[in-house]
Amino acid sequence: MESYDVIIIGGGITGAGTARDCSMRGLKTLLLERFDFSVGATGRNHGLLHSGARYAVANTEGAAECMKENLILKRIARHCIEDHGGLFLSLPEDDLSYQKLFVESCRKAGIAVEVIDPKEALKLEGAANPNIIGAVKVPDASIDPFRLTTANVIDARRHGADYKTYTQVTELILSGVRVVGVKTINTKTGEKREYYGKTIVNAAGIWSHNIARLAEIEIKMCPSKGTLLIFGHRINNVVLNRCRKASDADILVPNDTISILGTTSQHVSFDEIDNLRVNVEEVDLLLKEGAKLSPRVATTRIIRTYSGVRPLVANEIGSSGRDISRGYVCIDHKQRDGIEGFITITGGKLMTYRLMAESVTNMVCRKLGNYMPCQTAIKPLPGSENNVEEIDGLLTFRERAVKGRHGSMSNAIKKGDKFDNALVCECEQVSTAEIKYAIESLEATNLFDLRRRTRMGMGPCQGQLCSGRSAGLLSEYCDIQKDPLGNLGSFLNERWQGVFPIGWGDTLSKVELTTWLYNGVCGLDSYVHKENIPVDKRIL
Amino acid sequence: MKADVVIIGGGLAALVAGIKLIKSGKSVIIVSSGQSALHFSSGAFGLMSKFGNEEVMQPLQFIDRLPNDHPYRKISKQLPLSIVLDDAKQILKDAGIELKGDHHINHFRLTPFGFFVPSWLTLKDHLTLDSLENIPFRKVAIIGIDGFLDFYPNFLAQGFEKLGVSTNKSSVNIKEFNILRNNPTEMRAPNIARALTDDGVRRYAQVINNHIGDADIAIIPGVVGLNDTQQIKDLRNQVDCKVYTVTTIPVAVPGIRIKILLQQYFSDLGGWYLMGDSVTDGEFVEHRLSHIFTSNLGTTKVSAENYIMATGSYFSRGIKSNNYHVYEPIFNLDVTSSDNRSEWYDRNFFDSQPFMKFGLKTNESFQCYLEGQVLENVYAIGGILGGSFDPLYDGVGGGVTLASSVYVAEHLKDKMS
Repeated sequence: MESYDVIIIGGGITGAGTARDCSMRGLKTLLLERFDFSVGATGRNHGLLHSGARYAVANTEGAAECMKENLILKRIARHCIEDHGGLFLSLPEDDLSYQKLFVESCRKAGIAVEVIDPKEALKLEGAANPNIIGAVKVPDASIDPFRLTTANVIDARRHGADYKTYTQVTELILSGVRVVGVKTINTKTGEKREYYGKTIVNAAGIWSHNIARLAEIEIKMCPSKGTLLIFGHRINNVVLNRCRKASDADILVPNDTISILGTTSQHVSFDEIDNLRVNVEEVDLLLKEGAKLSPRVATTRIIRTYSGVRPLVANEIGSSGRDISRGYVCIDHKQRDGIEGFITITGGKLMTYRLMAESVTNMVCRKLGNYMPCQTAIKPLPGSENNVEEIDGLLTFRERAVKGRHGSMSNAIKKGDKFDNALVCECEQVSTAEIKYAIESLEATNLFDLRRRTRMGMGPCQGQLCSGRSAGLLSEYCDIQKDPLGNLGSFLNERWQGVFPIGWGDTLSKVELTTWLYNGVCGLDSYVHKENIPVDKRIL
Repeated sequence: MKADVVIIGGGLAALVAGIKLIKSGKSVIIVSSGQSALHFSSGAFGLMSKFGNEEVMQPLQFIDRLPNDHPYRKISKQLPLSIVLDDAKQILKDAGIELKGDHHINHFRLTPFGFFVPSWLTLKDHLTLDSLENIPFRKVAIIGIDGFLDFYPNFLAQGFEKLGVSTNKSSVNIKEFNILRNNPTEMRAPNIARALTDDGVRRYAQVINNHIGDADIAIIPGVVGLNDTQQIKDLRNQVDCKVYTVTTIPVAVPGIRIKILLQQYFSDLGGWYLMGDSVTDGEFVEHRLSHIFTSNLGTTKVSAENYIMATGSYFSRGIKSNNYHVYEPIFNLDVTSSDNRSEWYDRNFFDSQPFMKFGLKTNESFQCYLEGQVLENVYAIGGILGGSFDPLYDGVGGGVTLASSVYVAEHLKDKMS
């Protein structure tokens, strides 16, 4: 029987951050994730490192929290962040009095904002709508949530934490009124196990609702779907926000080699959260509104659309989800429901994951009589220990890409061998060596994991060639992956779910080629039909 | 410039139709904008592998059950389809493309992933089986190239093992390949083929021989013979057992070879192939296309008695789309499609995709329409054709292209004589 001080359910950024914090304070920690890290809302947002400005008008306290965490993350997670600043733009149809309220609220929250002349704003960001009538500079940046989560997991492992991916909690084990462990099932092999722990932390994002139900506890949550578009290249270099009450398609974030536009906000039922669908109408709405922020939105190729679910905790349920607080809650179920050894941490946002982890870890430590202080705001994450900005000017494009992805951990990737230098994914410059490293050291066991670890398949071609090559490498180097071709079928189908809603123009030409290659030349369709590989197995 | 027929587009359809027209004494100009879908070809042409969801082994038995606007159905009302298909096969053979296959019954070809799928015509150096039982070999040597990522030994082995055939896998290298590894993106099939000198082929054959072991046949990646079939013949003569190539993705060597051989043959017969040029505009007089303009020829008119649209589908830019409709970009010819984008796709990537059926609307003689009116002298062939068929899912793409090209050429021959 394996026994832990703390078992954390959920491998999103909150769970990963909590695992890091708990293990740094010396707790024997286990992190459980039913699929792979960052598959929920963590990997399905804007990748925006908020300054908090967006929340300032509605929630000054929350905005101040954001700003504080923004500064911490810029220190501890440098290799995950691009610090390019942001602008809040007012269009002729927007009310300039809102700008005044916005600026006052930001200042109250301690966010360093500066009202600038629209002409100056256009010099800062040529992609902005030239008709703007007002502009405010804010300290926004962009962040790669996949890297951030991986770095937290790696650090937790360095501090002795265990973790199991593809391990779903099916039952909470109760002894009287105390939760003493969890029953799990391996979502790949079907293997069942039990793990025991002194404290169980429910950090499953929107799925926290389902986990709490296992202990017959009700957490009122309001799943809110947000849909986003990814453009084929960077159309802007500064984060562009609309200076108005939060609405559809009013943030455009430059991130890595692309720009992301979003979002919509729509209430969805719990039945839909595992199988979100983007429809053609949402795409058309985003395009129409987004073109007001930057006219380039209307003319740039879109490579993908996707959606995520905000884990909002319902206080007063509004129609869309924008009226609900983005604050987090940390619930001690002993106090609230009389169930001991069980804590839920949910709500909140990517920006405040560290603070959420700190709060819940404080609660866990108090229960266990551990008085170690939290150090997550001081100690840099793996990858950001050394100064990653000091990139050698002679590095190749690929080496820069690898440094960007793995920071100071990129030294662990084998160099110099010509066979290993061969590129698997040309869009994102992922080499054979990096794929091998992700399989051997970053727990990647299938194409979905590989994509989140390396960005393989995330570029303009959406896995057209690299997914086949990666499947070949998986069959060579990963002994857990039993059916790489079935996995390839699921992977291509998952890519397709985010491509067809934007399937026109050059994207449709590319899609036609991809279908000819995999179905025509390679005959993968016959295999997928024969083996009954399901369409909706998108996360696995 | 003037010719009997101007063909717009320079891929498989254009070249086959062009060759046939020249052979019947017509003058032909082909205007080709460059890369064609042939470059991505598997080296095999399908006639029909599915009817609905039913697997098809004898394609011709299904012709009468096809919808009226299906190219096979249209052709077979005028000419026996067998004759048209034999004619296409002969044209390819005359161009030096050695294919095996019979339109009465499909055979199975080996794909890069180790699957055996139905095919009508397959290049002779590719492995095919008449049936998936009684396999005529017991052991296969699968021989890759060190560090080459577009050949999948494990998947191929899996495919053979499913048939009860054992395998041994190995990987080889010769000095010609080393230079390609200096650049991380160079190790691709066409580059390997370009790097192979005749000496290289000899050395490649030697290292292959060292790895055959007790196998009956050998499988190697399709990296030999970019420009002609000579190097493949040389290699096959020098390897101690029967050796077959498997195509790689993309750009595939066999497809490039087919394109080069056809283009060469067309030019040798006296055809004009305007490479790297594209049609910019045309003038219509009373439902006839009178002349066209191209980007390279500027204001010089190019005119012909008849015109053939062979510009391919989305990938070749024969048809384009924006977020509300699908269109033909040169003349805005009438297209079969839906203006409701939600109807373009199926959620399952591996099922038939409605957008694949979109293309030019044509009448029973493959004449095109402009604003609802038939154009008397403009025809469409190949990938640009629309109708109630999915070239990919039904496995009819190759057959439709070859049959429509031969048929329209035959039709024009009669019309112009």
